[in-house]
This record gives sequence, structure tokens and C-alpha cells, in this order.
Amino acid sequence: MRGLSLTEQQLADVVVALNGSLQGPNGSQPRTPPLVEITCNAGDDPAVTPVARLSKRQYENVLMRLFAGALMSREGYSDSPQGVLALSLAAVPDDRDYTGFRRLDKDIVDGHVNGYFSVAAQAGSLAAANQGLLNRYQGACLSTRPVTDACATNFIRSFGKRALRRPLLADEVAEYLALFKDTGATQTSEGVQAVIAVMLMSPQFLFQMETEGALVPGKSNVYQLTAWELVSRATLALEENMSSDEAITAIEQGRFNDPAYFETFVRAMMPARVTNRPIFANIEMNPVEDNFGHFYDEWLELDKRQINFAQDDIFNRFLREGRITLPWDNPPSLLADEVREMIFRNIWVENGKFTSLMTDKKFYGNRLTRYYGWGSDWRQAGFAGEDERIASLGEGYHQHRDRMGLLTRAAFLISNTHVTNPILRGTFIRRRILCDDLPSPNVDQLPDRALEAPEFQPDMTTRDRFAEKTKSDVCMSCHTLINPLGFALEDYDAVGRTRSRENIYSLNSMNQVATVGSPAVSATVGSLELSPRDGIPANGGIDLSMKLAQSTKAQVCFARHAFRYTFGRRETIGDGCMVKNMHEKLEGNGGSIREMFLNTALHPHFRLRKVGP
Amino acid sequence: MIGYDKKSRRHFLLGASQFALALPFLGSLVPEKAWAGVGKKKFLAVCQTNGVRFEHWEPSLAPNQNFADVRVRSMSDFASGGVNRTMGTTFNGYLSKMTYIKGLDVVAGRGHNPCDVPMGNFQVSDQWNTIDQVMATSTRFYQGEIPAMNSLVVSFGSGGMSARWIGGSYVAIPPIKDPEVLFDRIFFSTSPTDKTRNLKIVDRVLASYNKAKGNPRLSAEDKQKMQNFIDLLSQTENRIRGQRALQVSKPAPPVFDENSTKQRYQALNDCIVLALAAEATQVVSYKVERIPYLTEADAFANPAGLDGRGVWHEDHHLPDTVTEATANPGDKATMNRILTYNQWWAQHVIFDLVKKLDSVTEANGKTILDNSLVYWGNEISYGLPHANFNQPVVLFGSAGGAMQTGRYLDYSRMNLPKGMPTMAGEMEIRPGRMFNQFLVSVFQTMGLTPADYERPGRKGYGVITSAKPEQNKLYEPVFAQHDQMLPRFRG
Repeated sequence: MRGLSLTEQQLADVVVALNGSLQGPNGSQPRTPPLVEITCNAGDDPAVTPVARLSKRQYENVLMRLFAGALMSREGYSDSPQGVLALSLAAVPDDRDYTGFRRLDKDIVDGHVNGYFSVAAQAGSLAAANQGLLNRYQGACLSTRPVTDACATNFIRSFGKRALRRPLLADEVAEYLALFKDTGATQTSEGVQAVIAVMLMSPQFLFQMETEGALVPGKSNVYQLTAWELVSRATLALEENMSSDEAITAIEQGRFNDPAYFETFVRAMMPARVTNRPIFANIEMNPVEDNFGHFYDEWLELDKRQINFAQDDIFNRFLREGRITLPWDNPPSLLADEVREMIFRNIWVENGKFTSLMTDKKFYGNRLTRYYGWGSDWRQAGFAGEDERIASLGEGYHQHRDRMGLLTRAAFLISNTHVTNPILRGTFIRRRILCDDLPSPNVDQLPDRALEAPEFQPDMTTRDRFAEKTKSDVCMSCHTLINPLGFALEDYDAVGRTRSRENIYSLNSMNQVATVGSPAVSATVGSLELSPRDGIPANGGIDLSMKLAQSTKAQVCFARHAFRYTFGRRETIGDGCMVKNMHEKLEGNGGSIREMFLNTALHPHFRLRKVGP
Repeated sequence: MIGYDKKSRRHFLLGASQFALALPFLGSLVPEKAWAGVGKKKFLAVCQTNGVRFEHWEPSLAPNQNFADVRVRSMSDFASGGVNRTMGTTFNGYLSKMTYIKGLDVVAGRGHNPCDVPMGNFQVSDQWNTIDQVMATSTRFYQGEIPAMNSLVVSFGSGGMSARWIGGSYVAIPPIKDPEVLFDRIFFSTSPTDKTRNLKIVDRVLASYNKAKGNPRLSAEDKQKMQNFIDLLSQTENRIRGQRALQVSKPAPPVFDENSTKQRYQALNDCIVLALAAEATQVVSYKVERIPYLTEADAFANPAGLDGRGVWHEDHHLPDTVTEATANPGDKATMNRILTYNQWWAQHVIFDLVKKLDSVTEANGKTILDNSLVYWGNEISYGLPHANFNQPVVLFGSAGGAMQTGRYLDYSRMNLPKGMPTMAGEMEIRPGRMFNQFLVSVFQTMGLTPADYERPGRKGYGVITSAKPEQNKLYEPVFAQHDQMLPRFRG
């Protein structure tokens, strides 16, 4: 029988998963450094903090806040001339996600510079014509000619300290004033545009510079961040934005000189939620919740975990015949939204830990009741409440009976074909949950057709077929790490239903689906290889989830991901104390995901910048 | 729906500018034919994805002139029967400007790729820029000053087909996907007032980066980043200064239906032709593939006679062992889908591009198409083995007369039996010449010398050795020519 081919997305996922951080689906990304061991000794310096450009999201958010939404809005762009600015913004290349998180993409190519310039020129032009905006930055007097030096200086200082995220130095003010007088000699708006454009192109705006602090006593290359830099670092990391007006006022009042005030400030950015309303009900998220929505979306690749039912003939036939029920009337992102709901509630409502994410049995969003086999009517399925979307909430959550935590939710199990893909499942866990790098599969060095799915056999389960396909030494050099994790989830079928047997199907010459076999499935593995030759067995997805939840390696991996996302770079040797602290705040007494993220900003190293050679 | 916004800015734009029916804007911009550039050589690479089926691409006639190293046939012979089943007779008006090549094999390919394999980056582990980027950064190709827009990279995917090594990292050049953005890039910085002000802005910004670069609290790596920014900004400055070089005045931006694949691609075609006509750049790479976010509403997802599934990649996994004679009804339907899709692309995108390139006459009396070398290929050849042998190559234009066109060139080595190591033997396929020779041929046709593209100690271009000894053995007889032009490539 012909082997089932992978979907385009699956093939891309296989390459990504197998490649680890070596290269993306297009095979064109650079090798990333190997995973460093997490060690921490008392008195360790922080790691070197390279100067890095703002991420695309940070860049957009900062522009939004700086211009107070006057030039563009989240809801959409107006027609011209704002549309021109939108076009310019679209021309700034999106950050790529080949290194795990988009925020890690620090490359600058000509598209960035051209885009930045175009945005700066357009934003400057629009701002110059917006008197309300100029008033906000002490620019009311700019409407009266001749413009006095004092008027222009006030505007430059007011706008500048926000754009450059610190007060302008005297020589900088003088240079901007000279630029204003030169370009604005005939028309004030030309001068305003030039000043704003230069600021929006300056290194202090586009990069996190952090060069103003005092040298730490006894150190030659470690600097204490100024209050401006500290608040800016925290706000960019946690909100992906520049400091708010309120924070700037507090900086200028010297309140951030008190570490307790900074802790209060950080904690206020991340308030706990007290609500039973599900986020399916479109609650408004605050900037930090929005930011960490991107974190778990990118960590778990949730945008890819969609129902895409047009990829497989047999799967389509099953759908048409009603043998598989999908939530047809709902968006394809519904499965991922169930996961988003669970994580959101774990972080912000329940103050959960990583172990909670891996073992949570609560069921959110009963639009999936039929999908999970709980009947077609949500009330008959035992849910209570006045609205279908929030029916299970308020009086205690419905509990999943046959699944636990992230990995046994349909979003992670659906393959969009009629068979499972244990290789994809396994590589995802190996890379995203355990942080192991896997060597790049080079087609040229593998046996012919090595990356194609194995042939169907009536008496062989998917597990059997993949085990046979990967049994050679050259394959097992990697599949030792992949197969056990994937095989342990074989008690869930290709759409996430539990099973004890696997039906083997074939399309006959009349294009009809025929069942040609029904072997028993096994989800028992002898050694998960969470660490080499650990001999930890697992029996099915729930057991796997519990073993991963208990695994220090998996917990630290989560802290590593959180570190990378927060700081926009992979951890290096000098980051051991920070990551170790994050792990402690994650899983220790009183620990939680929220505490972990909070404490990145509260760790002593967060206040320091070490300069490399 | 979750509370935070996961849509891209692009989606906002889509929502904000639902234009009505398209008007072909290029035609309205060109009141006179002799309006464009002076006729410099131009290179345009167009790449499709997911492979081909050889029975749909095999020329309808066999070569009829046998030379020692190549078999040849005049393209004019294909006028009545069509070039092949995919291209049919659509391109009849351009047979004399076409070169069809068969029998070019990538010895060390890597299966699926972002179209950088047919552009010379066979293996990511070996540091070869894609060939368009070699030209884009070559003073010999540009015969002097390299313009700020040294190349255009156009694609809907996250990674374009063009890449080069920058500071030790392999950087895929971020592609432009929107016709409006592309248009904006071509006509960046407009009026004399803008130009004067923008130059002052750039000067001031350059000063700020030079000052930052001297900050003792930056590491050497940080300072290099500042220098990189300065270098790129200097290109922007050159672009502003060099704005007068544009050979056309700014027309109205493109108008098209945002939800139509056809209109979107044809608007991109317009902009690409405009960029080349204006000589804003002379190098373009252009990846042509389905637009992921256009599905149900997309006319292309349901071309006449198909079931509307749009299973582009999956369909190409139909095994090579399935032939039309033996295919079951389901497989026959798949074959028909593949053929129909490829005919659609050929007719509505490639032919549209070629036609527009040939509609603009430059100062040397030749059309843009004549002055260009347009290379139309695919990321892989046969779908299921994800093969890189027998890579499809169709060329249009003569690079300003540098090569003889109107020929079908078959480099298959006829002394070998039919079939390839990973393919069944029924099809008319034999091992041919190393693809490296094609890359060298393109370089030299575009005016480059080996010194412009070779590396010290590395003759030719690209990886030349496979990790599979049996594959290397297959190419031993032609290995010595890997750094030479293909026989009779230029006529």
C-alpha cells in the first residue's frame, strides 16, 4: 500500500522539529549555539548583554504609545495618509521565528533600515500636522511663527525623552535645535518632521543601548542600569513597550531609586486575575497578558495547531461520512484556543506552575464537547450555566476524563490526516518541552526516501511502521530520542480520541474507504530518555505527562524558554543564576509561572549590564 | 476568539483597502513604448514550489540535432503541438525568445527548500550565496556603482528564495509580498523637497550612529552592529541621492482585488516590470506559490473543473510509479489537478510576466525581455522523492543578445539507461549534467567572470560532491566540466 505522505505543514514541522534550532522549514537559517549547562555560583557576574534592536512588536507598540494612537490604531489603519505609514510599517521585515521565538531575531538587513527610514519620515510628517499630538509634547507654541528657540527646545526635550527613553544631553538638544532651525526655516512642519524622523532612526530609539549607568565598584565592565534604563528594560521585556507617562513621572521624581518601589511597579504590571469568565468571552487583556500570549503561542507553535481538514483523502471521506466529528461551525483555531484558555487561566487566575500546565485536567470551552465525545448537546453532557461558551465555569470546571495537561489535548494530537504521526509528536516534545537540540537531517546523507512515511500494512500499527522504518543505526542515532516520546501518545488517534486498536484503512479503486486491519495499539515504552538511558518507562499519554511534569529537565527547559523570550536571546553561561532563580520561582514553595516572570525583573542581575570585549 | 491580536499588519491592510476590480495599471502608465531604461542586462529568477511531474513537463517533441554533448531542437517546431502539456501553446508568441533545458541535475540537493537550491545554495552547510545575490553585489554585473536597491526579493512565504552570508550567518533576504509595498520601494523618496530634507535626516542619523560606535561602553560586537547599520543607511542615502536615475516618473500605485491570487500576482508582475523598466534594480528573485491566507475565497482555490481542495503539496506526492496508464480514478484526478494548477500558473502568472516584459522597449531598441535573462524553475523536480535531479529550467530572453534563444537543449546522457537511482525506469529520464554548469553559464552570460563568483580554491559554483558515493560515481564522466559553461548554452 502506498505510504501516506505528509502535509505541507507537517513536512515543514518535521524539518523544523528534526532540525531543532539548526534551520527552519526553508532550510536557510544559521546554526545556533549548543545548549549551555545551568550553573550558578555566588558572586557570578551577569552574562554579557549585547546591544539589540527592538523586536518588530516592540517597535510597533512603542510607536503606538509614543504617538498615543494618533497616527494608527490597533483596530486598523485609516486611509491615506495614515495608510502610507501603514505601508511603511509593513515594509519593515517581520521577525523570523526560526530560533524559537521571534524576539530572538536580531538581524538587520537593508529592508529594516529602509523600512525604519520610511516609517520615520512618514510618522514625522503626520505628527507635524497633528496639533493635538504636538500639544502633548509641549508643542502648542509651534503653531505660532516665528518659533522661538525656547519653544522648539521644550518640544525637543519632551518628545525626545520619551523617544530616546532617557533625557537628552545638552549637546543633543543643541544638535536637534540646529536641525529644527535648518529644516524648518521656511515651514515649521518641516523642522518638526526632521526632528521626529531623526529621533525615530537614532540608535537610542531603535536599539536598547543602556550605556549611561555607573560602573559597579570593583568591576571593569559591569554597569548599574540607570532608573530610565531599568524601567525601560522591564517594560520592553514584560509589556513589549516603552515606559508609560506615569512611569516616566515616577522616574523623574526619583522613586525608582527605591528597589521596593520597583518591585511594586513590576508586580502592578502583572496583576492576578480574579475572574471566572473565560477568555473565549473576549475579555480585554492587559499588555503583559497580551505579551505572554505571544510567548506561549510561539513556545507551543499554537498558530500552527489548527484544523486543516483538506489534506488527506481518507480523512476527508471520514468527515463526509460522519465518522469523525469536527467543530465545523467554529473557527479552525478552536483547538488551540482551548489550550490558550487553559494556559491563561493557569498563569493569571490560578497562579499555576509548569507542573500545572502538564497535569491540568480542566476542560475549557464546551464548544468542543462533541469533538471530545461528550455528546452533541452541552447541557446533556453535564455542563451547567446560562451560556454555552461559559457553561462549565463558575460552578467548578468540567474535568477531562482521558487526558491530562497540554500534550493530550486535541491541539497537540491532531495530525490532519487519518493516521497519527508519532515522529512529529516526539520531536515537538524533545525540542519544546525538553530543550534538546536534534541534529539536522541531511537528505543527502540518509537512505533514499528516508523522510517519507512508511508503507501501510494491514497488520501493522503506525507505531510498528515507524519503528520498522527507523530501526537502522543511522536513523536510531536520533530516533532513540524521538520515538519513545511519540509512541507514548499512541493511545490517542489522529484527531485526539482515545483508542485501544488502530484501524488500518485503504482507498480502493472506486475511491471507497475500506478497513483492512485493526491491530491493537501499545503506548508503553521502556525508557523515555528524558536524560540519556534514564530507564524511565511510560504507559500512555497521561503517564507521559506526569513524568514530564516531574522532570527537572522539563521544568528547567520551561525556564529556559521563558528566559529566551524575556531577554530576546538564548541563555549563555553567565545566565545560570538567572535561569536557576527562574526555576526556583517556578516550582519552589510559593512558586508559579507568574512569579517566575516577575522575578526575572527582580533578580539582581536584571539591574546590571555587562559589556563584552 | 482570544483577546489579543494575533493578526499581522497585513490583515489590517487587507481590511482597510478592499479595492474594486483591477485595472491593468502598467498599460495605463506606458503611453509611449520608448520610455524606459537604456537597456542594461537584467536577471529575473522565478521559482515555483513542490515539484513537477515529468509527463507534464516533457517536451512534446524529441531533439533532432545530435551533438557530442547536447541534443538540440528548434523551439519553433513546438508551435503546433505545444511545448509540453503544462505550457501548451500559450507561449507560442515567445518561442523564438525561449530556451528550454532538460537534463540538469543537482548532485547534492536537499529536497524541499525555499527555492534556494535552484539558485545555487544546494546545502546550507556550505556557504554559497544564491546566484541573484552574487549579481546584486557585483560591480562587474552593475558595470559600476551598485544601486541601493541592488535586488528585489519577492515572495509570499516567510523566507524568500534569496540569501547571502552576512557576518558569518546565512541570512535569508526578507521578501516583499505586497504590490503596494513593492511600488513604494521603487518610488521611495519623491519630490526635490523630500530629497533635500531626507538627506539632512540621513546625515544627522549617520552622525548619531558614528557617535554611538565610539562609545567605550559598547563591545566590539555592538560596535559592529552600529557599523552594519551605518553601511545599510549609507545605501539608503545613495538611494536618495540616486533617485534621479529612475527612468520613469512615478505613476499611480497598483490597483487590484486583495482576495484574488491572479490579480495580486499580476499586480506584482506590473511592479517588477516597472522596477526593471525604471532600472531601479537589475536583479529580481520571485517565488511564485499559493498564498496561504487566501483559501476559500480565492478563485485559485477552485479553478474550473477541480474540487476546490487546493491540496498543492499533497498532490505532488503522487508516486512516480503511478503512470497515467495504470492510475486508479483517484490518482488520475490528482494528476489532472497537478496539470491544471501548473497550467494556471503558466498562463496567468508566468505568461503574464513574460508578455509584460516584452511590451516595454528600452533605449537600445530591445524589449526588457530581450535585455533580460528570465529563469523559470522549481524548488525540486519530482515531487515524491523530493528529487533535485532533472531540475526544470525554462529561460526567456537573451540577456541583451548574449545567448542564442529559440532552442530546446537536452543534456541527458543518452549512453546511460533510462531511469535514476531513486526513480522508476519507465519515464524518459537519464542522468544529465551537473547543475553547477548551468549556474556558471548564467553567470558568464550575465557578464561575470570566474573571479566574480568563485571562491579561493573552489572552482565553479556550489557544492559539487554528494555524501552518497554511488551518486558521485554517476557524475564522474562530467565532473571535470562542473566549472565550465554548458555546451552550446549560448549558441
